[in-house]
This record gives sequence, C-alpha cells and structure tokens, in this order.
Amino acid sequence: MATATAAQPASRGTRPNAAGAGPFALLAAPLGWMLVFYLMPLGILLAHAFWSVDYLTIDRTFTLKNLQTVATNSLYPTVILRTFLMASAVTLTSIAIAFPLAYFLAKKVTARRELLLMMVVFPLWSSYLVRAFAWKTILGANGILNSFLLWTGLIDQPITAFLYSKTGMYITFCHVWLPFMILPLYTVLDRLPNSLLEASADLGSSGWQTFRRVIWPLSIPGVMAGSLSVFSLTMGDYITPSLIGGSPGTELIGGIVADQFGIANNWPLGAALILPVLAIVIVFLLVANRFGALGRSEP
Amino acid sequence: MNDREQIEALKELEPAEVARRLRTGQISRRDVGKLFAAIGLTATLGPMFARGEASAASDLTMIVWEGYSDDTWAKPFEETNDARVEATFAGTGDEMFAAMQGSGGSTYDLVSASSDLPRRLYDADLLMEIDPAKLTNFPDLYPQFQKPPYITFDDKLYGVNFAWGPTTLLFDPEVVTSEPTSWSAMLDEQYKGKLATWNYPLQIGQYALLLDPKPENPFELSDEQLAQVKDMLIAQRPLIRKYWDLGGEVAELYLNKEIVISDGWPYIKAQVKESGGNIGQVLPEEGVTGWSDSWCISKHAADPELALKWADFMIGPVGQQGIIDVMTYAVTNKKVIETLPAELREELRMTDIPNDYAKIHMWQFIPGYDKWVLIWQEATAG
Repeated sequence: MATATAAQPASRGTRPNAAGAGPFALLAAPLGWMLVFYLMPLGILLAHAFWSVDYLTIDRTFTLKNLQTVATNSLYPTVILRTFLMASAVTLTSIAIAFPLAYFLAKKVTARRELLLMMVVFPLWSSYLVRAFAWKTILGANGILNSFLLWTGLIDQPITAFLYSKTGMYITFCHVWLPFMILPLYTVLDRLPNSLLEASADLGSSGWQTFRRVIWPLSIPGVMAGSLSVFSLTMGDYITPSLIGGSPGTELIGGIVADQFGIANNWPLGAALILPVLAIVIVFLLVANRFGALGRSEP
Repeated sequence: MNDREQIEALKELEPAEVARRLRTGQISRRDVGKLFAAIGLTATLGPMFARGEASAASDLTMIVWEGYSDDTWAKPFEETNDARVEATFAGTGDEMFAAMQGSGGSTYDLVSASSDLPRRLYDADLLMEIDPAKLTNFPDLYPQFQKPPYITFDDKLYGVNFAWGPTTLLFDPEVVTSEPTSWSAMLDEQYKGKLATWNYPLQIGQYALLLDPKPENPFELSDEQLAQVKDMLIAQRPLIRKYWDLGGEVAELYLNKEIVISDGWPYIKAQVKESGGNIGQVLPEEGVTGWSDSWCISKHAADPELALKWADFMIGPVGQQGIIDVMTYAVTNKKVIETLPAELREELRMTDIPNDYAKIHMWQFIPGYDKWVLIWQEATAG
C-alpha cells in the first residue's frame, strides 16, 4: 500500500512536468529562430547606436553622440513628428473606412462572403511596390484622377498636389494598408453575437446607441490590433515617401534611416534614429495590449 | 578500390553527378553519407548559401549607373564569353559604396565608379589591383585616361576609365521657350512646382557654381560656402516638384509633363528622345560639374578574369561605340574617337580631348563628405 501511495504522487508529479515540457518543446524551434535570426541581429543593430563611425570604420567605444545628434538636430524631431502624425492620420482613416466594410461583411452578407473576403485579401497578393506605382498613374498630372476631374469640368487645370505630396502619400498608405485593418475588425465583428444586437434593439436603442454602447466597445480589440499593424507599417515605411512623396517636407523617418544605411554609410546614426521610432511603437503596443488587441480579453 | 579511395574519387565529382550515380545505384546512400562526413556538410552546402546557384562562375554581377549594362554591348559580350551579365542600377555613388561595403565586396564583381568613388572603395580595401598588361585595348586610351589620379593609388591601377561627361541643365522646350543659359534657372520662381533636382549630396558642388565669388573648385568648399549653398537649397524648396533618384524617373517626369526644368545627364535626354518626347539640354555659362567613370573590380570578385575582360571590352571598339550611341557620353579610346565623324565629336565634346575634359569640374573624393550629406538632408528632407 505504502508503495502504491508513494507511487501515485510521484506519477502525478511527473505529469505536470511533462505537460510543461511539451509546449516548451513546441516553442523551442520558433523561439530559437527568433533569437538567432531576429533578436540577435536587432540587438547588434541597436548596439550600433552607441558606437560611432570614423570615415570607413566603426569605432566601438561607447558614446551618446548619436542620440545627442538625434535629439538636437532639428531635422530629426521634425521628421519623426511628421511620421507620427501621418501614421496617426492613416490609422484613424483606415478605421473609418474599414469598420463599415468589415461590419457589412460580418453581419449583412450571407451569400458569397468568402468571395468578398478574398477580394479584401486579394491586393496583398501583388507586390507592395506595384500598388504604390499604380497610385502614381492614378494621381499624376496626366493621371486617371486628374483626367476624370478635367472631363467632369470640376477643374480646368490638373491638380498637382495629388502626386509628390503628403496628400498622395496619405491616400496611398490608406489604400495599401487597408486589408490589415479590415481583417481583424471582421474577426471581432463576426464573433459578436447577433443576440446582443437584437436585445439592444428590443430595449429601444437607436442604431447609433447600439453602435456606441454595444458594437464599438466589443470591437476595441480588433480596432487595436488593426491599428497596431497600420500604425507601425506607416511608421517604418520608406518606399511610398520616395515614390509618391519626394518633394520637400514629405520625407518620413523610414527614409532618413534607410539613407543612413544605404547612402551615408552611417550605421550608428541610423541605429540611433530607430530608437525613438521603436519607443513610439512599443508604447502603442503596450496600450493596445491593455485593450486586448493581442487576444487576452474576451469580448 | 577501397573505401577511402572511393570517397576520394567521389569528392572530385560534381554534386549532380553524385546524385545521378546514387539514383542509378552505382553508389549507395551510405557512400554519400561517408562523402558528406569526409568533406564536411558545410563544404558541400557552403557555396550554395554563399552565392546561390544563379551566381555560377560565368555570371558577372555589377552595380552600375543606369544604362551601363545596355544590351547593345552586354549581349555581344555575353555571347563571346559565355557569361551572363547581371546589373543593378544605383541612383548615386554613395549607394554603390554602401552596397559594396555592406557585402564586403562579395555581391558585385564590378562597380562603374565615378571619379569621386574609387578612393573610398580603395580605402575600404574593396578593390582589386588591375594589371594594364592584361587589357588589350589599354594602349589605345588617351594617355590622360590610362592612369588618372582618381584610380591610381600608391602608383597602382584600380580602375579602367571608359566614359565621362557633364551634368547638364535639361528643360522642356515647349514650356521653357527661351533657352536657359545659367544654373540660376534652377532657382527661378517662374518654374515653381515644375522643377526637379537630383537627390544627391554631391550636387552641392553644382549649386556652388552659382556662388559669388565662384569657388575655384566647387568640390573644395569652406564651411561658409557650404552654408551659402544650403541657404540656396532651402530657398529652392518651394519650387521643387520632386527630388529625383534615378535617371529613368526624370525621363518619366518630362514625358508625363510633371516638370519643365531639371538637372540631369545626356543619357536622360537620350531616353526622353527615344520615347518620342521633346527635351532641351544646355551647359550653363557658369560651367558644369561632371564625372569620369571607371570600371573597378571587387577584391572578392567571383571571376576576376571575366571582370577584367568586361573592363577591356568596354574600352574596346564595341563598348566605346555603344556608350557613344546609347548613352551619348564621351569616351576614352583614342582610336575609336578618331574614327568618329566631326559633328559627333563636336556634339559630345571630344574634339580637343584634354581641353574639353578640363572644362568640366569632375566629381572628386571629398574628405569630410558626412558634412555634405547632412547639409543636403537638412535642406531637402527637413
């Protein structure tokens, strides 16, 4: 008996261990991959921020010179602020466009929903560069948009402010990142029980009240998840600014960073410029996490 | 044949042949296992990871100015040498340098380096010394292009000078009806929103030609002169439609009627003309900056002999004639130039080579170039 009772706890004791090792073993490969191919290179890159460049060689003596440059040269705060404002505007606009679309897909469409969802994802199959270029042909002085406006007689001169401007960049960003906003919104709205909407209506709420008191609060995790993608994608982008921007006052921080690596050959300054951007995105990540964007809270 | 001998024999074979023998049963899986153990897995897979299959020895990779890998001459070269030319276009010399430096010189066999760049590449220990005796066309070059200072370091040759020319003032003759004569057209309010300039810190030298008094050498500027150019660039901001990055982009801007005036190169004019567009080009009265381009070979080129053949080919009749016809640039081979019709020599400024060449302020290595980069960024991106 004694041996049996002794054996019982022992076997019980090993089970949780085995269960504990299981998930770990599953995670080992992706974690190892992340560590070796993502976190370590990123760490090395960020370490550059505290080094300096002397003509062609990297001087690995600790210095705060780069961070000081980033903070004191008015170029960098200006561009970071511009990038932040652009990313915020694009995020808010994406929510405004994507929300009705996602709601329509989740609640109104019954037939062909898969097809419509596929159409949302479809643009992602083409290269981002192609989509940005497509906007060039739409927004140019001889582009589709201007030709159309001239044809309608609304304008008699092509509007040049569409292309090579912040307006053009804003339009392009809103389009190319839209699927990243629609999909998480669709997911939360699809899970939202119809009974809640019916109950709200039965209790005499107007459509607006139902949206404000029921639908919106329950879709916050999806809004946050989508915003996180759209916001950080815009914060780091440098392709659209060079294709659709490229005039004075349109450069975003991604372009400045890319220039430090690809043109100025100043990796330390480039790395130092990443830090404030990373800080902004991390703060957003923490806020989003609090609102359940990463799937912790149940709707 | 004992085990060891067999493995030694297998080691000599191409991997494809080993695979074939394995399939046909001439060797067993165990033999292949032993082979891997003998040579080490890394030795087998290493080269695959290092360069990829597409970069076999007969491939020639290069980072070049737009147009320098044109089929007109690349095709004949590929056919004669059973090679494949794989070119990447760079928008600036800085980009070429960063690409070379970033890969330790292993991604590109060749760089079409302008006169400012070889010095930096040499200092970064990325260049292979070139033995002129191996270049059959070398004796035909004008003496001044054989061992010019921008590709000669420590009395050794590190480049093959094959083309040169000016950065020019381009304009749309339909809108700019009276031909501009001065670089000040690039600051003229009447072209507001219709003007483009090259997004390249080295262009500070071009704007320095407008300073009063004009600097002796626009690439040797004092801090005060740099500050003056910066003010000029800041004043120019409201006029700019686009800071351009690639030559093809400028051609597109003209063809789409987005701009009416810009700086550029003769090749851009040639591109616009070829697409049926109308474009004018002038060399302003203040003088011009320009470039003298050389083929530099990476110290870690996969096939240095092939790279050398390319450089030699490009200073030979086919390469030089191609550069003249397609790029409309001036070239360096005396024999080729002397056979050209007089009008063409006149047009490409090759009538009196030493004098024509000396009229251009050639790009040069700039110590403390970081300062130029920062000033350019502050003026254009802020």
